[in-house]
Amino acid sequence: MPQREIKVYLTPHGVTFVDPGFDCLPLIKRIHPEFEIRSDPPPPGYVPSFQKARKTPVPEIAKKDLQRIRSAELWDIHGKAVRSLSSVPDQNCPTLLDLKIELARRELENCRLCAWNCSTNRFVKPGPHCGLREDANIGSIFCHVAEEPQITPSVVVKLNGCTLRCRHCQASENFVASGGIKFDAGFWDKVAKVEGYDLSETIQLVGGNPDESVYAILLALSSAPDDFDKPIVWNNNGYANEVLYKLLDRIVDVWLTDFKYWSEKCGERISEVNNYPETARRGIEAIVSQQTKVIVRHLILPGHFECCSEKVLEFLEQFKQKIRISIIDNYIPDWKALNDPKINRMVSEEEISKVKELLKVYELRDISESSSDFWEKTE
Amino acid sequence: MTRAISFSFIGWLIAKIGEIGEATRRWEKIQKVRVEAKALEGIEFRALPKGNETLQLPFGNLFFGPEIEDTMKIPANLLLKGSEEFGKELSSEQMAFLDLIGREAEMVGFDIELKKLIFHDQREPVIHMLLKPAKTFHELIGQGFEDQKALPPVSEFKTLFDLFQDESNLVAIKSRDRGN
Repeated sequence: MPQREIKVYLTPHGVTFVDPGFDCLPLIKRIHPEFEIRSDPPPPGYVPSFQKARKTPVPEIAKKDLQRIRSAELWDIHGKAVRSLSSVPDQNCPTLLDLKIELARRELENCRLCAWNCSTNRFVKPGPHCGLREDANIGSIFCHVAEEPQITPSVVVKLNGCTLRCRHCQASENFVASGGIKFDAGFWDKVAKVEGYDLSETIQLVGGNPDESVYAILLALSSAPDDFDKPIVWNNNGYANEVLYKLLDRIVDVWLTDFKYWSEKCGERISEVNNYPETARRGIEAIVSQQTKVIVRHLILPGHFECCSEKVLEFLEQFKQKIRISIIDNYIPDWKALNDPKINRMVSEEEISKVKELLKVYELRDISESSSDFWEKTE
Repeated sequence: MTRAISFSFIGWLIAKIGEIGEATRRWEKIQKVRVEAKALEGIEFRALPKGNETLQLPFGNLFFGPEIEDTMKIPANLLLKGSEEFGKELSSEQMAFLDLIGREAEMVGFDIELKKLIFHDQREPVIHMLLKPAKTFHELIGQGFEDQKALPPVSEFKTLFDLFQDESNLVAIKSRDRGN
């Protein structure tokens, strides 16, 4: 029996399923009998980064001192720990994950996780933009059957709360930060019951936006089953500060990050956000410095080739050895975009061709055409 | 942002061309029944003269054309939400697809809400379908009753029309509306 609502669009040219999960498969198969889930999974025996972080002691400090040490010093220790990755178990030391949880907790007392830099103490009140306090709320969980093959099938955890207000958002229900399922230790039992879980290859944290829920997520990771072996995909909107990327270094296996706009004005007009392009650029620079797989998603918006798509791809060229590009070419207006004449249309074939041509010009790796070396190759 | 998956009509049409004519005819019947989902509060329940009947149901309005028997063959939980011109503007491919998805979605346990969207650069509408975990027929009808136990068992009627043919059921709804 279906458990969630699913959006389907019937356009003059075809049919589009938003967030197709295992619960949509009977329908999809009926429409398109040849449909098969494309999957290029991690190799057998893959150990997710967070499981390593759980077992990595930080010998510079004693567990009992973790909450007493000044933040600057703790960050120094953290910086060394993510580089050295000691593996000698020591019961008296905190683990790298413990250290990150403590740093994330402190961050929430004066929150600057995202580029709104609100400095809210989220243990006292919710952030003015994300709407979140210290805990995390899940809007829905399902197993996605049509993400990039390298991460499909993917258990998608849609977290409530977002720092952007994209006028075309297809998940605007996740703007509401409260309600939903608590992201806590009991989360793992719920995940295991998701239809398609046994066939899933990754677990994906998305939203809304997952960044502002990092503290609760790290806490939940500390109670994951020891044999949980699915890589973590962090699917965010590109509006995080560097501190977020540092907290998730050695936790996340795949960064799946958006780069939406190059133009400041476009970010302001469409997503009601300040300083998006600069923030997204710094975010990309932060994640390519990590030992992590990186997929940058770019949604083609109607009429935004010259101001955004062209320049985003030009910027990404310098990282072409480290990243893969995922072009989203099936934009359908939703939410406020339905009443916005500038973006109330689908993108044209010509607009899609121009973007795809640029991938070739800049020799950027289109993930839809990538070979199966995604998981094996160290980049 | 997660990914959506799109399928073109091309290819599907080649395989399904034979079904389109039948689906189009079925759609013409479906057009005669338009159920517009509404909030429950303030809804008035009344019956209009036969042949041009409107029943405002707890979950919305049913409009019956002259061929009532035919129109009631559509799935009870296919909720159509749209304007009166909704169907006329669809291409035959869209009609066929809508028909197919409607029947398949019901089989796997979804209710459907439809909305018509018009994008500014094209004449043809885009249909927004929201597939919702299905309410049972009994749940759907029961929304209008204060005491759902008063409803006849589902097995006693096959269609919505059967239910509302029974004057006592209409009375039950009316009395709820009056706050009795």
